[in-house]
Amino acid sequence: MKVEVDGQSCLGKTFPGQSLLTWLRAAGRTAPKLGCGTGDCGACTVLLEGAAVHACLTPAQRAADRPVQTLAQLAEGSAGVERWHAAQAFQCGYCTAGFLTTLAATPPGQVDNALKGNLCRCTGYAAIADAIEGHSRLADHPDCPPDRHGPALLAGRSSYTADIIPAEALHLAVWRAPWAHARINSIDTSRAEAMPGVVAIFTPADTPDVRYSSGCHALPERDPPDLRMLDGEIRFTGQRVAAVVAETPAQARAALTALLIDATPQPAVTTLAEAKRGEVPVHPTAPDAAPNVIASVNTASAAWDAPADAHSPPVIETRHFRTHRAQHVHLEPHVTWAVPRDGGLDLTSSTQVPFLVQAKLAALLQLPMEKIRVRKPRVGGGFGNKQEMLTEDLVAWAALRLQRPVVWEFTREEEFIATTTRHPMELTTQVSFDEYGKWNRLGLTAEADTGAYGNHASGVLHCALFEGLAPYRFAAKKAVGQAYYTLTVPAGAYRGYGGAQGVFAVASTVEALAHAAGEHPLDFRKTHLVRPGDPLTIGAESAAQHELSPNALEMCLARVKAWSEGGDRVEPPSGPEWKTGTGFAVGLITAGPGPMHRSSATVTWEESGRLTLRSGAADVGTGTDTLLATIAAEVTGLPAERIDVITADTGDTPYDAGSFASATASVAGEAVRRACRSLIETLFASTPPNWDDAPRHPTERRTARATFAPDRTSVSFAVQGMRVAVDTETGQIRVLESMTALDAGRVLHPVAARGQVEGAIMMALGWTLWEDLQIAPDGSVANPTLRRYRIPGWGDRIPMHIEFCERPDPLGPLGAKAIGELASNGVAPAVANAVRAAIGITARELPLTPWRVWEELTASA
Amino acid sequence: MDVAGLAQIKSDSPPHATAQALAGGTWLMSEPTAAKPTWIDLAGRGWDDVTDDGKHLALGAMISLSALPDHLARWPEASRLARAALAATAASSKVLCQATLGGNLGLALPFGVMNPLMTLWEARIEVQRGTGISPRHLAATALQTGDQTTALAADELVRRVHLAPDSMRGRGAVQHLRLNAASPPTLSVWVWQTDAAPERVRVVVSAGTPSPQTVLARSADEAAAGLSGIPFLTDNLGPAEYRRGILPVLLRRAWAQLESART
Repeated sequence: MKVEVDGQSCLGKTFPGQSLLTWLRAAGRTAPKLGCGTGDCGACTVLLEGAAVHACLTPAQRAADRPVQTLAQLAEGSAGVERWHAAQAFQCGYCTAGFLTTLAATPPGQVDNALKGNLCRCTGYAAIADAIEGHSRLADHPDCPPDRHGPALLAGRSSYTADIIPAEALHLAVWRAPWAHARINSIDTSRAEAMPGVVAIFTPADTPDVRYSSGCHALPERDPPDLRMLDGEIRFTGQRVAAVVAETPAQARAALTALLIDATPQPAVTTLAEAKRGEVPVHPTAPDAAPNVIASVNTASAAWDAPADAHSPPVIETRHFRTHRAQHVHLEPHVTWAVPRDGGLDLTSSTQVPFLVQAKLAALLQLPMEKIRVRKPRVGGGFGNKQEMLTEDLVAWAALRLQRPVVWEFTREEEFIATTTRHPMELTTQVSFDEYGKWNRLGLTAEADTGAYGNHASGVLHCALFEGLAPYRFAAKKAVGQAYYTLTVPAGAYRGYGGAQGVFAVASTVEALAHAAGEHPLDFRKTHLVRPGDPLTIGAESAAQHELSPNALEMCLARVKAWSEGGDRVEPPSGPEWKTGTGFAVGLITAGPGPMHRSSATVTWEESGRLTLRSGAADVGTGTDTLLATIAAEVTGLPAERIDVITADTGDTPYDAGSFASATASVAGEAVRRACRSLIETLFASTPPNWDDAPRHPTERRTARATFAPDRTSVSFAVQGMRVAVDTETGQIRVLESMTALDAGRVLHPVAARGQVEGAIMMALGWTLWEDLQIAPDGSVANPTLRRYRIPGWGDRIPMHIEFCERPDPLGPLGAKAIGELASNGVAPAVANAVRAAIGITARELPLTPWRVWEELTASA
Repeated sequence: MDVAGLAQIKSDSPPHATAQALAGGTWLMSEPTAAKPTWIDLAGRGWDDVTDDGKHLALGAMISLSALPDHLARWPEASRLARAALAATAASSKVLCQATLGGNLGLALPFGVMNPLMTLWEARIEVQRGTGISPRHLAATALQTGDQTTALAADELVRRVHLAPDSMRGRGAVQHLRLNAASPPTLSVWVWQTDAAPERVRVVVSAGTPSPQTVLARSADEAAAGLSGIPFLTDNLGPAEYRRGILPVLLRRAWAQLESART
């Protein structure tokens, strides 16, 4: 078949049922991306004879002898691209080609309709709206360097993992279990082995009988080793059973259908309630352990445990809350490829944690670390879901066994049924009051459903309790929690890491107490929130040493209160049925808690008169490569354009724990700062450095290295307000606007920081209002497509007011501290509290769907 | 996305029971479908014909959804309602430019917009049967029989839609309730009042029901009474009880919107 692609004649074979997307990508035209494969995300948009189409929905043969244009051609001289650059309207950039290509064929005035089929998970659409309106964020911040990956990205030339797969790579596909719980009796591979192109088939009997956790963080002992590469014991619908490796993806998928697998289904445990009964153990547990409990917390302060006054025992109020599963929906699916090399392998992966993957693979494959090189190219978002080893183990195993390159790309359905989710939780707050009616005790209980495997169960449970309780300065506190196994898709790390669940319960409770006390909710909070010098406690435990910025939280509270008193900025829908209300929440995160995070950096003064910065930090689309260069530029005085950045390659960069816990800026950034200082001290006898006189001959002195492993943690706060309108007849909620004030230290890159906050708010709004990964009674995921699991789209964007209340942090690099997840956690309670203010009902369960609100309204009527 | 197990796509074959018709959208590339080894591509065979004799309008099955409002231009209110219907779909404008009238009717999705519209306008559906067999016609109300089921036999396809002036001259309104801006509606209520018989309004309920449900009524209350026994779906867009509960609200709002259009 011949297609004219970007003005060039392209020849290639096709097969019945092939989409134009895979045909183009096989032909090396990688500007259109695979996001969903179902025409829902728009990442694959191309122009076919000038009309924008989803390439994934277009049969390839319909493009025969017709012109196709991709961003690679459309970008040349495009005013839209210029505006996209000026507004920095991208983060991970995986959606960018789809947006720009769609807009290239969109007449003015039809943008809203045109963008209905384009999804962005990172930006919250605010920067995209700025780009379309011609507003330049770079002009607002002339000292802010543009993202250094922008030019390639906006030209359709960026290299994600799937864009650079070796042509000779074999393709891996996996047969996934249709049962929630079963034992595999036999796998007959003979028919599949005889199919065209099949190179190998792996079953549980072929793979190492080693158990490990897919969860990656610097404290691996926290996660139970409960996972096998391929397992004959099935614990969730979607679990890997067997793998086929074939010459082409289509051949691999076709062979899956020829596997004959016999299994005996077992009783399923698909809910928290069933798991708690313990009648069906998901995993073997120690004799003295409660069945299905994988993590526990039980801590109370001495004041909580103090004997009650027999004459006036405390009256304890309890409130119950429930949160739900969510999927990360990074637009780039998981993808990994590996090339065998000298008894080891080079592995390229869309990961947040290349160094932790390297260590896990070394242990699993029993190879020396230096035999495994892991590198991360451009990544299309992660949000915690790529803080897991979900593809790398099997790809590495297959490549080593076959001694050929092997690639494995997840489909969108696999993302939903076989990666990880946010932990659903049931939470209970407990408060009591002294004899004067003053609130004096706070307790939080959390029960988490971690699904079939325990990756991140302990950490997430702990964070839910910590981030719920720690912001408040009571002596009497108690935290109780358990995480339970169920036979469902595993939960894992998700932006906020448990904080969203804990904050939802506590911030909703605090707002109710404020209303009961007749105080403005922010004034009420001010009385009870921690202050500099206070410990951060959840019971008898307190956090590692930490620093609170003086006055910053107070500033944030004042800013949001002023916003709330400023009157209506956005008109609610007209009609008496619409009621409006404003709600609030306060959340915190700690960044870089030692010894969770460690990062090293080197800086090299090159003979060319440029500085090369090497860091293991993984930019997953958040702009940290640019941020690290910004830090280096400020410390050295060199312009950012003279600094080259190499990151996230275990073979070429020093160690970094990875991109999680919002720690890259504060930990990797501090390592970079120290390395730069060290280089300056080495090269120059006196400061300020004069780089034009710096020696350029190769000497030992020209490279400096530094490592940072914080023993204290900085604390960031977000104070959030949401204004909503609620339709009292249907229960529908419209979020009118949000206000977020952040105590995030000194903001080193205001454009990127704002983008992080906007994206976090919009992602959290989706979880609050409608995103809900549903489990069917048989344990399977009921809505495993973007058509049925809706994430916020262009039409859902809201006005977001954002203020950074800057107080330089004493610990972070140049006064900076964490931002990435900060704005996530307060959104749900702020919306729920706004609904309460509007119509007087208390939302105890998420998501706040119209029918849930309507049921409450109907019941209260 | 790539479809496994497909043997051929033919463009010169008539529809037959063992083949799957491929229209424009294409839904077949995005949702698992019953495995048929052959697809018959309907593009390029002239089924996007439009016949307008000044009275009746016949629309070929392969006209794109996005073109529908323009084809209805001589009935401005119908054209406006068609435009509103398209804006309410979950599909992107990219899909709407490729998806077809016949494809949308034949898919018979609960949240599809062509079946309720054609029911509202009392359209006649012309059905193409096997080679050499004369077409048959059926009322639009009879086409969709349930969630993704129709009255079409395996070798039948929608060929044309016929619209009559008496049904098209009038005014209408539609009310949707959605989870978010681009989700399919949880419930849709359509109303259409003709100039020829303004005393009774045709009401169609869709999206929350397996197939469009219709009634003629003089008021929103009468419509609610007439629709009180209809079946509702429970799915990820909402439970049946909720849909049943808000139907009177959307009916009242649709009626008010219709009144507003009339004045």
